[in-house]
Amino acid sequence: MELQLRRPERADLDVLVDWMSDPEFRRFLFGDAEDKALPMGQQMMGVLSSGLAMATGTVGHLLIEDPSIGPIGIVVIQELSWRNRMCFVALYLAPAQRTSEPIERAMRSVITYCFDEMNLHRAGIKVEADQSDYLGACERLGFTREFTMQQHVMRDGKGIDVIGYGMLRSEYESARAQTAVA
Amino acid sequence: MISGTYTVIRSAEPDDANAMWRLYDPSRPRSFLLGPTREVMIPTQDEMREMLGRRDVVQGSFFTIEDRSGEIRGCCVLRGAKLESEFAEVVVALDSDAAYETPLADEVIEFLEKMGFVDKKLNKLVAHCLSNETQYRAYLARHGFVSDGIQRQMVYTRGQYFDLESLSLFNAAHNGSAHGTAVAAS
Repeated sequence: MELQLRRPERADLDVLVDWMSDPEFRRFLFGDAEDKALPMGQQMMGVLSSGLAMATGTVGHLLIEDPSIGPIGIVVIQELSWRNRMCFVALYLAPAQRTSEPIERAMRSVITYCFDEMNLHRAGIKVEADQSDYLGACERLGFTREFTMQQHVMRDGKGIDVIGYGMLRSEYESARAQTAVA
Repeated sequence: MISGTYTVIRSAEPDDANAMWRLYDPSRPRSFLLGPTREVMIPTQDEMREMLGRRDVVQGSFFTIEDRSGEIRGCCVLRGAKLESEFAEVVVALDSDAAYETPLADEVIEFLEKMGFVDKKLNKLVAHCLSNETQYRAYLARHGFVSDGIQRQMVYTRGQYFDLESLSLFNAAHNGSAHGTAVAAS
């Protein structure tokens, strides 16, 4: 069954709060893995409302849902520029989904959304160098590795490289045509 | 104010708006013109004046470059310097491409490198250039910046897409290299 991307709603709060116990989710939302206690509810509401603002803003969150099991992750659309028709995406997937096949499936649904729904010219993704499953998924999906920013994010006092991938609409369309032929 | 052999570099002021506005030339796409979402932004002179009047935005990060005769030749920026991220973006916008090959330009980048690495103790400086900014790119490379890679067709302006290259300079690499003239604070 195909994954669906949709705006987070109030009914999803329980799932989001559940994910807050995952350091990866806290890092995804706040940039660090520290426990966030009291302001959590406000932060969550911020996440919910940013999905509404995406038509005019530069950032928005969308829930990734598997119709058979419910929400499995979140994608944030960043640096969205309607003039350049480009954006960057960042993904969070729940711990049970962080293996090659689900990552690739989620990323494919995000790319489809970027090109088919948002009609963008280009989609990019930045992956930390130690996230090998995400790197592999980018390569398999046909992203082009464009840049490596050395020691670009700090984690536990250590600099981690960030690898940037990009996909142009023409590349997306030709990959899709090849899949259709196969 | 920093007084060098070829330049006077000082905090930008609202009265610089007219001279500075000349740099915002839409017919000449430059990375300097890119806003946070990498879109080409051309402010009006009034917006420019208002922005330069905001001390919280300008102070310590946005500088006017004068030559020794007092003429404004451009501006330079140290953008987003935060200790926790340990890097910042540098931007040097001069009034002509040829100016990047002059000692004036060398003095400007030395000023930014000193501010980033010595004063703010950053680990890395990053810079960006569009595919048409060959002289600006050569200038950055001459000062030790190394390419991180090229983001293809990132910026749409004047009916075409431009690639955007990212370059970086690490503190360690900077300390290992020796560049030109000394700049004195006054």
